[in-house]
Amino acid sequence: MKVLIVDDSKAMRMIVLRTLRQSGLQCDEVREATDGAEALAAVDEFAPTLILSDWNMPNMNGIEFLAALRAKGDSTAFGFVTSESSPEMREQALETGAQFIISKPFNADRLAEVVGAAVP
Amino acid sequence: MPLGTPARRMPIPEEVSDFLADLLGASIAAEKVSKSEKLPDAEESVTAIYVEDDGQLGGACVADLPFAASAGAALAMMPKAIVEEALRKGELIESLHENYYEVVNIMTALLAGPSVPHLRLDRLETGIPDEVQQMFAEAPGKRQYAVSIIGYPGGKMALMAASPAKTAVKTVRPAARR
Repeated sequence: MKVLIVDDSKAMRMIVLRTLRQSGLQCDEVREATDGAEALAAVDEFAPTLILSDWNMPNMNGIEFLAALRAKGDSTAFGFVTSESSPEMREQALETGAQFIISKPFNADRLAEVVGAAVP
Repeated sequence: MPLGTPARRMPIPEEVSDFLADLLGASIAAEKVSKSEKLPDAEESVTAIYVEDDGQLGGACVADLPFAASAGAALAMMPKAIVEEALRKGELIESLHENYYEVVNIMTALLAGPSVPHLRLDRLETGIPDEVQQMFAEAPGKRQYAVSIIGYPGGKMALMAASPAKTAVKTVRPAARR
């Protein structure tokens, strides 16, 4: 599995990566991006299997990134990893085409559960 | 905050330790500190200010330097020596400050609830602002914890929420980030 981690916080990208490794999911290659615009540019070249993205980011936030991705016909599995996830955000995420949304903090079991369901 | 809004529930120590364990990926022990205990010395404290969506002060997390430095280091698996250096200098070095900002940003969830106004992190300040001192003195919802993060120095932190019936101080500064 190739994973693109999108978060403006270096520490949070590190945590997501650490938890991915602890989860037992097979990650062959991981790439990082610091905002939606950078991630959008990386998708064509990197062709990830899974995108794990923060919601609140500068330049292009997570929901704008997801909308732009789906608008160009890209159906890569997409999950939000956010510090807050209200019912409204959850609804908007799923309507826009996300497979899941999980709140920070999260543990390896929870990540394995949602990613396992999103990426066959 | 409208009148009649219920007070925020303060998390019990087990909730704090589970939350921090998931966040920091480390073993955590949190114990409740006596209600009569004062806040840490302002000169050696770091305060996270939480505001409601209208900018009104809604809560705070006051931490002593050992907790803030240790949590910031544990988040990124930084060595204990960096925490010890920060304690010697008496301040959070830049990387610890950045990481601790993430910690207190996510800790907003500890003060969340289904029937209380949404909170967001407004800023992280060195010391304890006067309005937070006042809130701690008056807040019905407040709790202090002694927190041990395995491999790092232990410290203390306090969570508090503004009284729901009180019109609190309006903050005028923009969010530091996000």
